[in-house]
Amino acid sequence: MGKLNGNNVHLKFGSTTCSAYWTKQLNYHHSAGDEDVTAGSGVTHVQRQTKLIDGDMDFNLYYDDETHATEIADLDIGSIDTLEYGPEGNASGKPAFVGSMQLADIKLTQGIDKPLVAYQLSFKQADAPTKTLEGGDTF
Amino acid sequence: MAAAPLYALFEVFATALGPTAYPTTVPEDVARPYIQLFWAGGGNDLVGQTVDCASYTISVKCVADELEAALAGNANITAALNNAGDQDVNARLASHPDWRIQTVTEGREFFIEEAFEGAQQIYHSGHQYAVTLQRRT
Repeated sequence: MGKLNGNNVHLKFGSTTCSAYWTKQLNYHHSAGDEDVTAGSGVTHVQRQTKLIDGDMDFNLYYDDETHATEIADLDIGSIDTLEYGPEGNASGKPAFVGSMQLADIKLTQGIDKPLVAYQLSFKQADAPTKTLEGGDTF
Repeated sequence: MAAAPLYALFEVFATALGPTAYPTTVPEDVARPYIQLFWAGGGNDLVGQTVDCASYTISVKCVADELEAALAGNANITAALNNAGDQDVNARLASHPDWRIQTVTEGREFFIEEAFEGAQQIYHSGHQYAVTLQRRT
């Protein structure tokens, strides 16, 4: 057993590998919708069934002033492409998320006091993922 | 071997400030006015997986026998350093082979009046500068 504290992530959207530009934080989120199906005389507890499963991810990329064009090559707002995420890199056998995602939101923040300039990218599920972390899938 | 970021910073700043600027310790026989620069905070900065970055706060002051000379020296420091990084609005620092000095931002001002050796008044006038650096690849 070993707890994971590392930042050696693999991030790729379309043909653009973003790992080297990743900064600050990443959020991976999958959720299942639920339907209240409570029924029956004298029932005492809510009953639910699972509806559709949805997923989203967001992460930050620092703005690189030397390789900016390469960095954002495939990162067009609204584009739908394959997003790969590996919390431990993308070596064979390491946990993987691979799925079709829509790049739904891009935000860039810059400040007068010269903070780190970074893109905030938000992705939404566009189709059922082919590999998920919680499903135990690997590269 | 690449220079340490703080050493690179001292080299470039000393070049910009001229022959009367001394990083860290000032030799005993140096005549005033002179400029002293020294570490006031900072170190490595974790930005990305594969990029080495650093951010420092550096104190830079002019030490002079007269108040007017100390304040004028401080103004010259500002003219040489403030917003002088290669990403700043007025980039003018010398390039270092190992580290990019990306931003230099003038911050808190400080002023000290000192009874030097118990008698003569001398004056220290300067600012702290926030500096960000990135290792060249």
